[in-house]
Amino acid sequence: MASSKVDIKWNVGGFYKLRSEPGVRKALESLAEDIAADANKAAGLTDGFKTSSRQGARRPQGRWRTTVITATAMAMRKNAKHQTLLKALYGNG
Amino acid sequence: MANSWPKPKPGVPVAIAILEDVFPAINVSDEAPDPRAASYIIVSALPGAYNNPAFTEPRILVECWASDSSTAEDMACTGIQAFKNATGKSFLGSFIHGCQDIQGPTDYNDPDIQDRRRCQFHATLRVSTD
Repeated sequence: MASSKVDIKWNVGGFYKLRSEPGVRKALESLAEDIAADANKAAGLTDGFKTSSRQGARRPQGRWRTTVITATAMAMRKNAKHQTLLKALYGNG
Repeated sequence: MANSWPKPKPGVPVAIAILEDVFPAINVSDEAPDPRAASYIIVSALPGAYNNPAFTEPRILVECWASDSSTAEDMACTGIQAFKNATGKSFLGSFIHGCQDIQGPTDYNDPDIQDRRRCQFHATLRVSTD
C-alpha cells in the first residue's frame, strides 16, 4: 500500500480573526451578562456586578475574553460575605 | 418505564467527613462556630452537576479560617490533599470516584472579620449514588 504524507499549514491569522467573530463575541458576552445578572439578582443590586469584553494580546492566540467584576464597594462586600460570583459562575456553567 | 435515577447524596456532609479525617482537632462544619475558634473550616455547596445515575458531582467550597494567613493557606493545602486522596475511599457510606477541577487555594478575606484570615478552594467531588 502506498504511503502518503499530508502537510497541514495552519492559518494562524485566520484563527485570530475567528476568535473575534461576532458570533464568538456574542456567545461569550451573553454568558458573562448572564453571570452578572444572576450575581446582581442574588445580591439585590442593579449594577454592582458588571461585565467587560475584549480580545487578548496577539501572542499569537488573541483569545476573546469577557470578565465579570465587582464594580461597587457594596458588590465587593456582598461577594466577600456570600461568595456571590462563585455561585453565579457555576450556576451558569 | 420505571424511574431509574437514584436520589443523589448531599455532597456537603461527605466533604465534611473527608476533612474531619485530616483535621481531627478543628471544627469542620457548614457554618461558623459561635464563638469563633482560632481556626475553623466552613464547607458549602456551589452549583454542581448530576448527569450520570451512577454518581453526582457536587461542587464544594471549602473556606479555611485561621488567625494568620499562612496557617489558613496551609489548612487549605491540607484540605486539597485530602480531597485528592479521597478517591477510591468511602465516607458516610458514599464511594468517592474522584476529585476534579480544584481551584485554589485563594486568599479571600472578609472585611467584616478583622481577626481572622480566610483561604479557600473549591473542587468537584464525584460521589457514588449507591
